[in-house]
Amino acid sequence: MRGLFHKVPMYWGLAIVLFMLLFPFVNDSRSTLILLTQIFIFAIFAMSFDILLGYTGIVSFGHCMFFGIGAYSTAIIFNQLEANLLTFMIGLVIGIALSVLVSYIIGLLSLRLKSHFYAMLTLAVSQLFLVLAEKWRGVTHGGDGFTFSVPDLFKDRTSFYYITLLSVAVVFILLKLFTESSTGKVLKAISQNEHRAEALGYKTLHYKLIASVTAGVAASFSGALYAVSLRFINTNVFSIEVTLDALLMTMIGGLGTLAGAIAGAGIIEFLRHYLSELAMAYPIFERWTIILGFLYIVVLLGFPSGLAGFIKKLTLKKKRKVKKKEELKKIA
Amino acid sequence: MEHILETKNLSVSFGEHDVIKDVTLKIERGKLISIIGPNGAGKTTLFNLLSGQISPTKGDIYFKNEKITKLSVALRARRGIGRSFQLTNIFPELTVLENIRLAIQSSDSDYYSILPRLSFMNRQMDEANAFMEKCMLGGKEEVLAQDLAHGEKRKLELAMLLALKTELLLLDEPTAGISIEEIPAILEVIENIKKEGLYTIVLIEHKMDMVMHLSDMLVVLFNGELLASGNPQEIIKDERVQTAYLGGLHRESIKTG
Repeated sequence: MRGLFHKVPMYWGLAIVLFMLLFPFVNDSRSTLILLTQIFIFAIFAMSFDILLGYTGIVSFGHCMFFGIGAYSTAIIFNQLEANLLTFMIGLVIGIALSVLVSYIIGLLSLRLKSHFYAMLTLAVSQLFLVLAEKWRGVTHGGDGFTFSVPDLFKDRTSFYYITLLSVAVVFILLKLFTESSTGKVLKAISQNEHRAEALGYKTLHYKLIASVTAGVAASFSGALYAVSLRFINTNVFSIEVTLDALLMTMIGGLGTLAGAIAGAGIIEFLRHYLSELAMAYPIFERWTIILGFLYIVVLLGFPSGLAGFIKKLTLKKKRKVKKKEELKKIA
Repeated sequence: MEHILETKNLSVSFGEHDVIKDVTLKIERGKLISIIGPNGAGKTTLFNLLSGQISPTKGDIYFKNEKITKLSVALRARRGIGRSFQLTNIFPELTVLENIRLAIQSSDSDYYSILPRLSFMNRQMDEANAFMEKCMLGGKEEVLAQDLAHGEKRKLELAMLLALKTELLLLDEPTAGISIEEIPAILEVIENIKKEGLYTIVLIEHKMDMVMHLSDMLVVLFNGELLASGNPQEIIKDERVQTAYLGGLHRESIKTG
């Protein structure tokens, strides 16, 4: 069947979603629930990065800025106005609108040039936002940040868990549809051979802009959820580590596969959580970032196409074996 | 007879060096025109000018009587100028079918839809299969383009060009780097395309027997200048062409073995 999800192991996805839906009923550890919520939020962020790097082949060193824009918009609105669902929507819309504007302008300025110009410009502009957040003390309270209250619906950890779970699912489906669409196919083509895509009649700049804006919007959305989950914000959301997190998650999960980005987010956040908990018992694990770095090297050397690529390889091997057996049977 | 493509005093120079000098050319619709000339004569540069990869320092290009000198590569492709490249130029990590489908999608003017339309895509897939048959690539649908043999990659390029449904095909050495055994197949594909009569083909080729066999008209470039153009049989007897090119061809045939 030439269906839409023919390559996606859909049953696995459904099983995982079902498990996640039932999870709060069998779990009474608050910290596990919070960890999963964080994983969902970062999964959205990693998927947005995957649209840029994995699908279109655009390198961004400042993807954190869209995450930060989304987070700060929501936080500032909650702080200045009142915390309810309406103000959440307002903050979300403002964050997304700002992200569209910023990603569009950066893209327009740099995407017609070679890809490292985009990388440099995003890095520069994200640092600019960091400085803005530090200096605009009246609104952002500088580097210390501020706490704020969130709507009651988000206060309850279980209901917020379901909201983030729903968000991941919706964003995944939307982005999946996007990558399977005509536009998505052209993005994939551009990542492999931009000149050929152009010679086929595609205005590549437009497509790269679409990818840039789409990634910006999704990242901004994840940033808004992040701010709500912490009920606190500071300038860390604009730090380069946030961008590197997204890079690590997509690399480990497998570039160009949205599901891989989700898995990568799960692995990184899970490791971070448990390694820092281990550090309480064994001080050596206080340096858990070293272990992450080590993991990164292992992945790059051993599984350059990430977890998703590794699984794909395994299933291909299996299929080939079955085929060979059938052929042998035919001969015999 | 209608001219599908015209150039007027087309010139381009890189720094001090004039690569194409005052080339004025008229190409008739439905014909197969071969451009020959020694290495460095400016054949590929002329193609780059026609397809828009570089812009001329002087002169104009007309396609179907409209000036296209300033149009981008993508816009010229949309108007109906398709081109293949000397070095294989495909999407290596997409399947053969996807490569062709992308060309069809462009010819469908299906540019910016951000939601997949299944019926639409299925029709494109069927169409892609037809083009694969035409270019003798049947059975290779799900093979990644990078895993194809070199000759098959060239066939894939032709299939992509046809799938673009352009009117003018610019083929830059479709047999470059291909083993002798594979050449007849490529030749057959080009002949079939020509027989269909839907396309005007401009060919850059070094293999003289192939050129003489296929062409309706010959264009000889030498040092960026148009040395001669016209009926192949007459051109080949032209003394200037003999000294300028066929001497070069002799060396060429030694090189390519």
